[in-house]
Amino acid sequence: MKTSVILEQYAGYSPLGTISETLADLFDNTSAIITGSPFGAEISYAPFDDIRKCDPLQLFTSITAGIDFTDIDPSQTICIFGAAKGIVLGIQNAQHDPNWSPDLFIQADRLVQTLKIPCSSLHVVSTACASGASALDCAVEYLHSGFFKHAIVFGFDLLSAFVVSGFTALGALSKSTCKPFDVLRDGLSVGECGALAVLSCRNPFDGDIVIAGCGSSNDANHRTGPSRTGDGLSAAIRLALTRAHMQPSDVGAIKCHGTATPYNDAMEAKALATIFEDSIPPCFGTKGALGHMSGAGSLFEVIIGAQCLGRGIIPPTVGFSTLGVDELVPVASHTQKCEQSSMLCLSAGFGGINTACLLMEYSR
Amino acid sequence: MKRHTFGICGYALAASTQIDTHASSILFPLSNDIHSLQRSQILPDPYPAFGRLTTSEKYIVALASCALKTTIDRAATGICIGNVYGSISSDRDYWKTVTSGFPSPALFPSTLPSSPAAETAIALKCKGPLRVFCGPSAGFHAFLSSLALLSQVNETILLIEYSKDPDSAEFGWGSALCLSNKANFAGDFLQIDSETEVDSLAPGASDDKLYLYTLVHALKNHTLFQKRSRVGLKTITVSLQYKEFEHGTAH
Amino acid sequence: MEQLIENLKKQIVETLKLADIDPASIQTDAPLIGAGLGLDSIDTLELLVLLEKEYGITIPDVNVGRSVFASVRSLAEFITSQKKI
Repeated sequence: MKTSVILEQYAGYSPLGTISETLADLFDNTSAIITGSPFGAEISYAPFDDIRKCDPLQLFTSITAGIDFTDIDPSQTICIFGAAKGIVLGIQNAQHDPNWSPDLFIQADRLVQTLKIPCSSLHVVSTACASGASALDCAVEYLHSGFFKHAIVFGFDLLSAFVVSGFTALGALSKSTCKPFDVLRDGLSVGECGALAVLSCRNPFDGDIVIAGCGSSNDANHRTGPSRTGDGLSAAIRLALTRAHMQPSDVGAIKCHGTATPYNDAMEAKALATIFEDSIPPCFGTKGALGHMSGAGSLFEVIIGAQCLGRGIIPPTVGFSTLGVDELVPVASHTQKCEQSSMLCLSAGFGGINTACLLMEYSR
Repeated sequence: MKRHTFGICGYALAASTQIDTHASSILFPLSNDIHSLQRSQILPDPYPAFGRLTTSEKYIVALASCALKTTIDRAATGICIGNVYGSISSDRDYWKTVTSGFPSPALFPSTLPSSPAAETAIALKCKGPLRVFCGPSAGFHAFLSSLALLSQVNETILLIEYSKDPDSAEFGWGSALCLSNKANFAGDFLQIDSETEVDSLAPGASDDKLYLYTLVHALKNHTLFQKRSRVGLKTITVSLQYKEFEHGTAH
Repeated sequence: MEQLIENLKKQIVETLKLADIDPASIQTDAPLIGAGLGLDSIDTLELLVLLEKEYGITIPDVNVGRSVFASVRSLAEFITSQKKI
């Protein structure tokens, strides 16, 4: 039996609450997105229901409460923090503790020290909205290389006047709940989250969620806009498939990035058609329910993918009703069965970064 | 013991006042302000966007451009950057535009720590994996991550370390190294020996600040570079091997 | 009008920090976005900020924006027409 990278434990907090609360709401077609003017202009956004969670120490105290660290030897463990902005400098938002440094490494280090997360090394990965997925990719490589036996991957990205003003200036935000892949999609809704995953390298048992392969690539095209051809994302998917020794036909379902901006969803559809041709597996997205939870969101969404894989079903894509991309992407509008025990999780971000993470439920 | 060798395809070094490249030893006098750097000094083709790059973006694109030789297949090249201070100075510049009432759509994307890597990918058309690390040892982390990636995928990686403290008047420093595991390289190479045996080195005890800079500096002067570091379960020894010293041991 | 066109060319190069481009070399009637200067969507947004900041003009409709940024001349004509109102 070959050793594999196993997704052992995970936890998180989204605008819909804990992982299990989030999942229940996703299957209920519930959205946390509201409209309002928290920072001036009117926007659609998904804030935490509990304002205390806006302090990363409180957020991760509740997140790590359900994680069992007893078998984790710090000397064999690496901690990787993935975030786009974490908590940002200059925030005039009273709910954020001004004692937090704007430096991502200092933020991560403070959290690791205070919560006594067992590890001998801390890395900070920041690749825009794909940060959490990049951190996961990086952790998987370290485990395969034999440098470490365990990896603790975590991240948080919180709503801030800083980020909202930037997306507003770029005209990227929708004034109503975002509509991934829909014909009426007109921009994104912003969100926030914290997520944590514990990985180990060992022999898998039946039912284990294995990270079969990850891939990343760059469009080398534009600083904010995605490639128009989807060639970057399809290269990332191809790399993930190659590393997992899998064929496109082995993929059971896809957790899309689905930001609901016109260009992102069109690009994603093209990439999927490139890889899967006319048999794209069932797809879903979570941003109509949770908003775009930025860099850490890409990790949270992989966790959602793992949960769905374990249950063998995928949730409806909240916000979606009529397909608005040129390719026949089977976007789930109701709960659907996942025919095969593998799930592809996609993310993309500013600067043209793309990531693909292939999860598999192990059975002999 | 496991041994990996990676070909060195090019490098560049920059500190305080100059960028120094491998092939031609061209020195770019940067005075005290990288903004005086002209596009024509480092990129062969007109690139109107060069003017709007932030200091760190310009610096990193310049380093990358010097280290990446034209013979490399750029579409298959990945970028791995250790950006020690992340985007802190860009954050401040952008936030000033927010408080002035006119948030700048052009500055906002620069507030991502990965923006210099993205600009490098766009300027040089590198479409491989992209990864950005932040923090005091970011250069070393980028180096380790590149090794892990190269040991599994056939790839060329443009590895860059950049550090400029926004609160210090002192100028920053940076280094770039183009590493490849493809068999067809010729010239100097990097030898990495890893042992699972855990020895006296405590985790994180090795001096990993300025790691890449020290390595590239030795490479430039063809001097000895050998460093042992403890990384989790392994002790890795990284040493530079020069072409003239090669005795058929590896490649 | 000619003075405004000249000023605009300088402001465009300055605001967008264009490298390799002399303001005088920008053709008054050539397309501003896309080909030629190589300006992209973010540059367009940045020009909208310039209009608001320097001339007190806001363009709420993106489609109006597109015709305004057709060339330096159309931009100058738009500014002049807005000032008369």
